[in-house]
Amino acid sequence: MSVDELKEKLLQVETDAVAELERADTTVRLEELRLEFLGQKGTLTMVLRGLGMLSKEERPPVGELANRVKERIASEISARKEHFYRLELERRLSGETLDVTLPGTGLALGHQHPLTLVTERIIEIFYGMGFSLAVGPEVETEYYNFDALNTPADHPARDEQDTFYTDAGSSVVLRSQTSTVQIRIMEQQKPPLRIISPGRVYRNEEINARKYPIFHQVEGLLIDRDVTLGQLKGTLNEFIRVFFGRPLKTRFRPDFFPFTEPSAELDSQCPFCLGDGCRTCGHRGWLELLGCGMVDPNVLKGVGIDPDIWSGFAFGMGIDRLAMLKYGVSDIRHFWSSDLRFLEQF
Amino acid sequence: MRLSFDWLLDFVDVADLTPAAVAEKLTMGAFEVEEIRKVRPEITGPVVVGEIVEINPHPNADKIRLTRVRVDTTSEPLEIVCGAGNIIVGQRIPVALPGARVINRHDGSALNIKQSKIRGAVSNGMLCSPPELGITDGDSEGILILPNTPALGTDIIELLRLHPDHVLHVGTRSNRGDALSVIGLAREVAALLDRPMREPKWQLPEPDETSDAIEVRISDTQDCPFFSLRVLQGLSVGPSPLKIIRRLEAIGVRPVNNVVDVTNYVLHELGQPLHAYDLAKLTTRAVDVRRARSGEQLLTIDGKERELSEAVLVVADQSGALGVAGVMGGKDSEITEKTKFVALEAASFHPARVRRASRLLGLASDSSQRFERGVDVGGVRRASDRAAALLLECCGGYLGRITSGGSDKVSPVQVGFRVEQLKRLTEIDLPAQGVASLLARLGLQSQLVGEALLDVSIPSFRQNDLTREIDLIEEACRMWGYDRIPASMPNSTAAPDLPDKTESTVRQALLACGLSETCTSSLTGVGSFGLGGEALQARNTVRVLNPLSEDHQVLRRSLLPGLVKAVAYNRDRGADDAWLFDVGHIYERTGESSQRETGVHEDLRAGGVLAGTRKLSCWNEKDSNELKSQTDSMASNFYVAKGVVENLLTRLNVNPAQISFQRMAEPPEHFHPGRCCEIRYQAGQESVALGTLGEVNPAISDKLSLRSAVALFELSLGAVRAAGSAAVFTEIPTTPSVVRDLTCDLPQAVDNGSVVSAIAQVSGPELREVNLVSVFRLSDDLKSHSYRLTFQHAEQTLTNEQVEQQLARVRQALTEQLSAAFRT
Ligand SMILES: [Zn+2]
Repeated sequence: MSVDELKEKLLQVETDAVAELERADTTVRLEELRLEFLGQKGTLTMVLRGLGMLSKEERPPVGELANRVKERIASEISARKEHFYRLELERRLSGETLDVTLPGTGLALGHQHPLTLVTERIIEIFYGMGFSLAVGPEVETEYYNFDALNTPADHPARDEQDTFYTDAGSSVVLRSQTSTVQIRIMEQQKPPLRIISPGRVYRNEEINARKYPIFHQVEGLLIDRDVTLGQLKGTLNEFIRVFFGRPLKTRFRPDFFPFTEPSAELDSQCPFCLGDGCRTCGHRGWLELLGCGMVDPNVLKGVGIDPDIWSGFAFGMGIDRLAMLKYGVSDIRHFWSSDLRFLEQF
Repeated sequence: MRLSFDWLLDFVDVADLTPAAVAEKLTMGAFEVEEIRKVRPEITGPVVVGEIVEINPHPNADKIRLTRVRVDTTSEPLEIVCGAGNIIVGQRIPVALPGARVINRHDGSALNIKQSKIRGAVSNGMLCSPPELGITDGDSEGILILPNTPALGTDIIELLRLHPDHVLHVGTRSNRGDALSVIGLAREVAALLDRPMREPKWQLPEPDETSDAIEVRISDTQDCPFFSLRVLQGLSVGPSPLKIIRRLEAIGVRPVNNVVDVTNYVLHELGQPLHAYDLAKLTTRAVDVRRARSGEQLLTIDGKERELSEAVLVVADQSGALGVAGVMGGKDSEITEKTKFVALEAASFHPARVRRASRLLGLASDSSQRFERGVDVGGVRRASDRAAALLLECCGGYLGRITSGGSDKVSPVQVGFRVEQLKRLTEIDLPAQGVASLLARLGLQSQLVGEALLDVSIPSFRQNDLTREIDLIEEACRMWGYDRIPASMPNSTAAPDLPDKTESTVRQALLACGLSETCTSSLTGVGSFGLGGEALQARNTVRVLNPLSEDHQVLRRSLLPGLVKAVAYNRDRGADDAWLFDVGHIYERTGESSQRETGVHEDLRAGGVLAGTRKLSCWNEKDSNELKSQTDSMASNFYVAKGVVENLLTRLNVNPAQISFQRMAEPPEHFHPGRCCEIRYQAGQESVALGTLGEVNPAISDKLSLRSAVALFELSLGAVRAAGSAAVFTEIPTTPSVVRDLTCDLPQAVDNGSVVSAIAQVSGPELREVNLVSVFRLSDDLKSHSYRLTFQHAEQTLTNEQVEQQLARVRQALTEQLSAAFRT
């Protein structure tokens, strides 16, 4: 065959292939055509056998044409394949439409207890103000629960009607306040100190919607040089702003606790009515949030800290009460019920 | 305590302020006012004294009559219609004239009086019954008939003291017994407002020195530092003056008779409890203040027979106790209408002694409440004088002698106050003079000693609570006003220690496993939960000596009983599926207690309970296999609980190779004995228990009617924390891994743990993983386990031959050690 004849043949193969591929309507047919034109026994291969009969000089232009034809056919095949894939995909997708409003599946996550949520929140806020976490035992001696906290021997809090006594020893009680941790920390560490300590406390009180004999408190203690009542106010104002997520007015009412002096009760403007009065605040516009004060010099002396060099403040707040406020929980007993209808709301 | 605003005005002039404004001042000055209550609805005049001069029937009605009432001597009587049946001509009665506002007797609302026509008859006012004037005591039916013929036209509001009054409910403070009185709170109000006090004044006549004198004998002046008895003679017992009645009524004290009312009046006014005895009932002219004899009986004024003990202090004559000192008097010597001679007791008793008696007898009174908080011994005589003056005024009679035992002398107390300390602690920057004048408002006189030291004199009524410089700093600060102190922030920036994350990591892991957190009581009943309670509590359990109830008697030894109870609680409310956990302490006695040691160990535990099925999804598409597989549910059983525990340990980075789940020689009785284990951690030579896990003993499930298997676990967080480690990176191998499956027949008695450890023992480091694929029961004696073994060498590609050699060793070991058989 002459060069021209060969070229003619190649072009004919190309034309035939393109026409055939155009007519192909399945991927199976495409594969047949690929074998027919490009396979080892395919048309193109057959034509190219004629190349051997050409002279060295004649070969390159024909070879070039042959490659072009081969690529043309190959790309035509992949284009057709891609076309069929798209058609197929469209068909498949249109048949796979889901009801997107059916609920999601998978293992449900558990719910965290609101008291934990609130405790963690409180710790985080004070952590941001430099307070480290401390823990102390719930079973305590009268020494830590009362004596070291400057509580007089005949103070009514020591009454059996207020504090639980145990058979572990004549002076072993269930702590009635987390302030016990103040003493334990000050015995172990030198000032300056900043600690926050959450935990369970116990008081011999009849159970009702507002009271449970076991509840949770967070104690805070800061001892440093030149600590003032103003700094106590500032620290607690910051806490309230972050905890309730908005700046609220506060007021410090003088109060009395054996282990702080001066002592104060901190009221915050009711976050629900902003002071106008509502059910939550008993129409007072204010919520009693916590007790606080400057650490009594007797307490400092008792743990060997010189009150003329160091001063400090302490505060204690009820976690259960804060959680009730935060989530609008109407009855403290819900916290202890283990009722899933309650737990799953958090 | 309840404070009458009207009464307060006797001592401090705050008439220009509203009760609410005074309450606010008290609240911000340490005496929280919890409530302000109007004593009676407001009545406004003209309401005057009138006299009925004529009563005629109403022409159109049976039940109402036409009256003519004269309200002054000059003008014509007024025609007034009246429906009450108790009136007769000549009576003096209250008349509300047009323009007056009285009270609607049916609903308590305001009733405005106008000239009106009632069934055609003109009425020029209204004759008033007690409720219409806001008087709640006595007969409420019929018109109020005024005794003693008061002058016509007299203002009834003045006459009957119907002025509006407000009662402030003031919180009490344990260290401020002095403020449990009108005068005490008046001092506070005066100080807080910086206004002068009006001290009460009275005149006492000279006593009749010939009157009876009663000897006072105190057996222990520790119990009773001072005791006085004053004789009053020829009194006539009857109703008190209206002023006293109204004030007592306002604060909720029931008027009894003039003698008793006066003692109550002075108690509330000055804070000094008093008691009046009918002198005629005393068998001797000597009174003892002594401890009661064991078994001694006393009928108290409230009509109850009380058995006394040696801890109780009594006032007694020769024939026995007359009253419980500082708490309540006896019925036998109480004041009656016939009383003519009175012995008035004014004394000081030790707070703890009174508290003890009050608690022992379960008897609290206005008197005990005050003695418990400390009553100023320096004020006893003054209160006795005040009461005597009032008694003479209200009951006539004459003054007898006063006798006493002990001493009411008060030593002067001085407290030094370094002025700069106020600024140091409160940022209130005042010169010495400024500080002194703040204190002076509270009646604390000070003298400047040296440059900046005040020598402060403490009056007797504050010697109880003002003993140190810091107490004076607080008072100065209170007078200055806490709210005037600017807020600032502490000035250190030291970083806090990072909190330990174990607890929160455990919570997060359990939440991710689908368990919800609950909070269970650390106080429980004794064996009341049927969950191994008896055995658990046999030894070393901490008991509460004064438990609130049967359910709060002991400190828990395990979290598991509470969790099982929680399952039963939810089941009773229709929720069979409950996956719950709790993180909390358990308590155990481990030693003896001392001043600072409790001898009780508290262990922080994480406990979990899995009950019912945990649905993986809440819906199920029936005709699609693919979707069905997604909506499987997971029944609670041992293995699920174990999976949760494994997840938790993984989350805390505890090396699984060091963890073992071991059968217990003596499983706790709350577990199914064949379905529980101990979780142990091997740390070098030491094996540490981390906790236990298992299914609830069916006996307990049956008792609590739990329908399906309930699985439990409990871990000691201290041990788990110690077992956890920080993650360390190992290079990812680039060599291919080779996977081989191995199936062997085993005797039933051989457990998976033995197989896995036998495999590990004979394999080199290139055995990276052994995974159990299936367990198949062949017969009662035989089972088949399939494992997938993954081999990978860190550096080189393993040849087929190398892997086969390893497998051969494994087969041989299993055959020899565990009687395994391999089918070909
Ligand atoms: Zn509110």
